[in-house]
Amino acid sequence: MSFFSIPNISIDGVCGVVPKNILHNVDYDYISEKERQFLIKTTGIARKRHVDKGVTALDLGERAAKELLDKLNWKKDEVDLLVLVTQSRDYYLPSSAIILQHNIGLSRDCMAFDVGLGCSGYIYGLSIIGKFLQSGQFKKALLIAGDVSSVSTHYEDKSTYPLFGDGVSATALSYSEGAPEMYFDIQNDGENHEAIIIRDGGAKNLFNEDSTVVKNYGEGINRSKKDLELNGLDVFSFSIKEPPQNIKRILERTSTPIESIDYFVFHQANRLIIETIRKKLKVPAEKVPYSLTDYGNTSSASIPLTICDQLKEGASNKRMLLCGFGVGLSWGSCIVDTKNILCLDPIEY
Amino acid sequence: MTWEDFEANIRDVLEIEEDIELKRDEVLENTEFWSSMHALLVMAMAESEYDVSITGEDLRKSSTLGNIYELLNSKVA
Repeated sequence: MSFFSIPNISIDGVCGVVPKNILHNVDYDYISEKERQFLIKTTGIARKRHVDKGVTALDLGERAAKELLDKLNWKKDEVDLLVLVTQSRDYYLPSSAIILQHNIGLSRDCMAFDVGLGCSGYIYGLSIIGKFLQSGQFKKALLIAGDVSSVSTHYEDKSTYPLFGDGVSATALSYSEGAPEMYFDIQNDGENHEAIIIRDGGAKNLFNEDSTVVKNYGEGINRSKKDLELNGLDVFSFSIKEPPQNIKRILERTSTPIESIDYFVFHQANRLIIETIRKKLKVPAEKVPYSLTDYGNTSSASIPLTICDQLKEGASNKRMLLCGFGVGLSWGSCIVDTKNILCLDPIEY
Repeated sequence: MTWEDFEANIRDVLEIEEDIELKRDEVLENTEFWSSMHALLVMAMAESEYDVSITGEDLRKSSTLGNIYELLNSKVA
């Protein structure tokens, strides 16, 4: 059973880094102006950020980590664990987290590894780090989560290109004896792994001469096998069905009244999905912050980016329910009672 | 759920003007008011208004508004 609690953990700081290049969906001229307006209205995504060529998730993550360590006055050699949640690694191998450990300037004694998850990855990352920290053997840890999705979305695929933005977050966590328990409920469905997929470039289908050939897969959907493929109907159906059930379950299992949650911070997939979940749960709109209007779907960075961008100091001393869902298919929720969290305004790279 | 209730909800969700006649047997893909994004709106309506989950496969099999009405009614029941 993937329901568990973790004691003695404090979230000390959160920081999001986004590229400075802003792309407005109103200018997305691959589709008609009428379709653009409808897309923006329905998804809520008005603009997003894209990196310059050659800039990767590691670069954004390094900046986020250094800013956060500096503002928290944490020494680099105090960090015992670095977990990088990303699906846009620099290389097939080695692990990007190990490169990042060096780039940030962390100690060689800092444990570092990658977790290959997307939109549910922030919840996973918190739980993994929490488990390492809870006994006090590890004292301080960094969770770096996010993606550079612009490298894998094709301009002529209206089902992905206008939705995804680049962004990477850093979250600082520490052992804090007596801190309220964090609760997790995490689920997966590998049967539907093809609902969101990049088909070529892994060991199953090595990158080959066919990988870059662009083909048509329906009206407004041209892409190659190295590009992100998203089955909109199936992913949407999953997203409005499973996360609300997961949230109801974690609330029941922890005997947490839904009214006691100050903020529900959802993965920023699109507004229609989040609003449908919110209505199903009968949660007031003011408890559901959005960052997708300005940043789009930033994968595993979307929850921490929303906390930094929208809640800021309001994230401290609150009970929050965080919920991520997406590629895998994978989804999960976390209930956390925060103390003092340093939330930095989103930083441009 | 009556056809009239369904029609009212569909008009509201898809923002279809009153002067456009909705026919049960009209093929959705041939209409002005249907696209892949509109399909998502119908899914969202089913989930939030009727607490009914429509799968992608359900919608792919539904070519007319009448099909969607019957699908919703079968799940509500």
